[in-house]
Amino acid sequence: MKPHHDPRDTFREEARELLTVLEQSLLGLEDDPHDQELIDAVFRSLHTIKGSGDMFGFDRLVACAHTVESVFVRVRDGSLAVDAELVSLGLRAKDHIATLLDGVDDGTVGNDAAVSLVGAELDAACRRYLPAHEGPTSAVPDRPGSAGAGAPEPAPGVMPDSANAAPQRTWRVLFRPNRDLFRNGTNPLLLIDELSQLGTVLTLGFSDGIPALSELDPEGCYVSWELLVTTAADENAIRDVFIFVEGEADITVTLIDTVDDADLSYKRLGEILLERGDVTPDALSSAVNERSFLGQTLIEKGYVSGERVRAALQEQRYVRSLRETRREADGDSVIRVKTKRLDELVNLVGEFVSMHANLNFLAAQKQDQDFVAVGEQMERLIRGLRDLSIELHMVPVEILFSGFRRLVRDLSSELGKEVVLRIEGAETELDKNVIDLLKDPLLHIIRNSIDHGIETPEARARAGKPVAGEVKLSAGYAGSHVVIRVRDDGAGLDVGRIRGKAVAAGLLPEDRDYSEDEIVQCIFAAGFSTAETTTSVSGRGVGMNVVQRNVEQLGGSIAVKTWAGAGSEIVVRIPLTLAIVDGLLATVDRNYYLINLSYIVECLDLSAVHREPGRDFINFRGGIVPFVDLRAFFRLPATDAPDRQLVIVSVDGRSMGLVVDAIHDTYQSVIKSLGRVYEKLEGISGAIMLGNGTPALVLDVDRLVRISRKDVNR
Amino acid sequence: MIDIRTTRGDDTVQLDVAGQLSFATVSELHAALRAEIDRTVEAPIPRLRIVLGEISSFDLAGIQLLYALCRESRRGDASPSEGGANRHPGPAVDVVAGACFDRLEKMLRFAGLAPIPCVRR
Repeated sequence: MKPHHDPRDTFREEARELLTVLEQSLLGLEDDPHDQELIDAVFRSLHTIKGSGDMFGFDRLVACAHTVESVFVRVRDGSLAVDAELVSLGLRAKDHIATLLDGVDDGTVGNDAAVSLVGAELDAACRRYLPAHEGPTSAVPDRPGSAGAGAPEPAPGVMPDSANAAPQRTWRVLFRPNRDLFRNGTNPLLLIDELSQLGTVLTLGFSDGIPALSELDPEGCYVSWELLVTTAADENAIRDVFIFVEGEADITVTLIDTVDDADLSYKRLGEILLERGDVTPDALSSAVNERSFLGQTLIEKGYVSGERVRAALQEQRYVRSLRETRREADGDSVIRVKTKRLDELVNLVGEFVSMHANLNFLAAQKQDQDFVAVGEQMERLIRGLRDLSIELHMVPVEILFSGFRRLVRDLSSELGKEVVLRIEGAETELDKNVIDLLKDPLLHIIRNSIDHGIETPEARARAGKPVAGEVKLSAGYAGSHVVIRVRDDGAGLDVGRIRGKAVAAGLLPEDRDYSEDEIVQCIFAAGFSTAETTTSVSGRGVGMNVVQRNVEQLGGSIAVKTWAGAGSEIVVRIPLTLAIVDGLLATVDRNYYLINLSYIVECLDLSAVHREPGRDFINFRGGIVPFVDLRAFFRLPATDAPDRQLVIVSVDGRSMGLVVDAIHDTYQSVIKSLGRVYEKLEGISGAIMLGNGTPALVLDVDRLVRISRKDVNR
Repeated sequence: MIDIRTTRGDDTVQLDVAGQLSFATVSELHAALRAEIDRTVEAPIPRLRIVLGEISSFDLAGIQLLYALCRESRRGDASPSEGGANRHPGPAVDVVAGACFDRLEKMLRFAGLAPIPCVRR
């Protein structure tokens, strides 16, 4: 039995999306108060929330949306200007609607009094923007069809439901005026213009009836038309356009395309010419028998004019294009699927991938060529299934980034700073689960940038900087990872102060020199803070440590860069998906390890690589690259086996070598978490199960590279 | 309503047309054009140029006349005639639309009609 689905849940989901649009549009209006598209978007969001909420009995939500919408009616008609106060009012209303949406309004959540108070305050605030005689007369708008005085106009671009109800169809109108049409005072172009009011019209005029000058009756009408009309209107509405010229023209209306027509090929050229009466069946069949291009033959034989053939081809193209667009639109139609269901799909696909690996292993072991062949055929399908299931999980980071606009606005206002948030690469896609888990870390980073990084307007003015600071949030692809950067143009990290605090806290031994990079990494240590006072925003010294831990739990890494007086940048590197990894399988002391393919630069025969005795560095492509023997790293017995391999990996342009005993095949699998017991195991980020049931550990290449570079710096 | 000025050169007869090129005036221009073409039977000239730069407005009847004029030009080029006898090769017709070229093109596009072959900017 299918689970019961409450339609109000669907409304809530849709309304939340509309509230996000509302918030973004309001914030956009703060930057450009005259942007008509944003004004329309605010209006549309409120209007739709109100309309749908009314259907499900969210009365107070509807009342709130209606009141604010009434204010934005005045903005839309130009009688009220957008300012910061109005944007704030809109944002407060958005928050209130969100609260009502979460359940207070339909009685499923308590604490009604506090919510009512907010609603009353908002109502009073909105009324200040409305003339006393106008105001939202009724809190709940009139039902469709009653056209009450208080009901606002539909938003531009939002068609009334009734207009959207009829499907679009395409009609071929053959309009052949009689010779006397002009003499009767009719201008056929006005009829074409009137027809275009019904929908989209492709006008194909025919001049082939016009004779040479010596045979021309200059006042006679010789032109005729084929008009392709795509409209929701019916045949009668089309015929009504020509009602006053019925006696002066031959008018044929034929339905040539409906939403049910899925065949992309449409009609052949000959069929169209025949239907329109441009050629006779005899002429057509004689031309078809020529075994040449039909249109060309018909013209050459003088059966039809070139413009008739061109018009028929245009009709073909037009209808095919309509059907293609419809098919694409059908393909792009959206259904809502809960993320949990998608997670289940990805997990099942992951298990399927493992089972396939098992099948391959058994087939190879039994040397059964039939099984091997089936396994190879399955591989292509599984890759497609895997890619699709991952793709289903991908969403643009915009949904994450856009939420920070409000944070930056509110926080900068709270701290008395002026901060502009600039977003780049918002179209970059990431696994939905990764995006959900990234929200808190990024929130911390942005809060820190505004609280600690960006200076007060006065300090910025003294430093010769623009009074408004900037936080730039950007995302972009880097192989199988996404790199997210949060950069501010503030004062930068105080490296001396961080060093002092780090030494005092015992994080850095005092008797050594440290690179700036080593010092600034201390901000990720547990309990580290340089803030003298604790504010509601930051200063408790738990933020960046938690941020790093969260990012690493996602299989990512975090780094910080700073420029004295010019700002700092936090760089977060996150795998595109948490679900399935493509890797190279290697062995070290009979244990299997998986190295993510996206990191691998080259595999070398260790014995062929020149190494200085006692030095853990090699010359690779003209640079010094550190390497680590994984036997030593994992405290496994050393070996002097001759055929060991050196796998060169690279992260963000930083390379290192990993010495393994042997390398095997590439392998794709679902990564399993190691659990809390192995959480602190350095250099390992997870495990996979091989086809034969043997576990393999997934190397945390990011971490290994960072550790190796630390050694290089020393 | 319509003003037609004719200039005769050695190899070109030019008609400068001003005013409306519409249903109301098209018969007048039609007659003038026919007269010029008929005249070429007696005194052949290689080119008939119609200059429309001063046309203030036109409609479909006017446009039809231009199509017909172009057809006459092509017809004149054709020889021998259907009857087998050599037909007198009429003048090549050249229509210079000048300042009204863009308006003319716009109207043709709206009416879904092909460009008129002998009309140039």
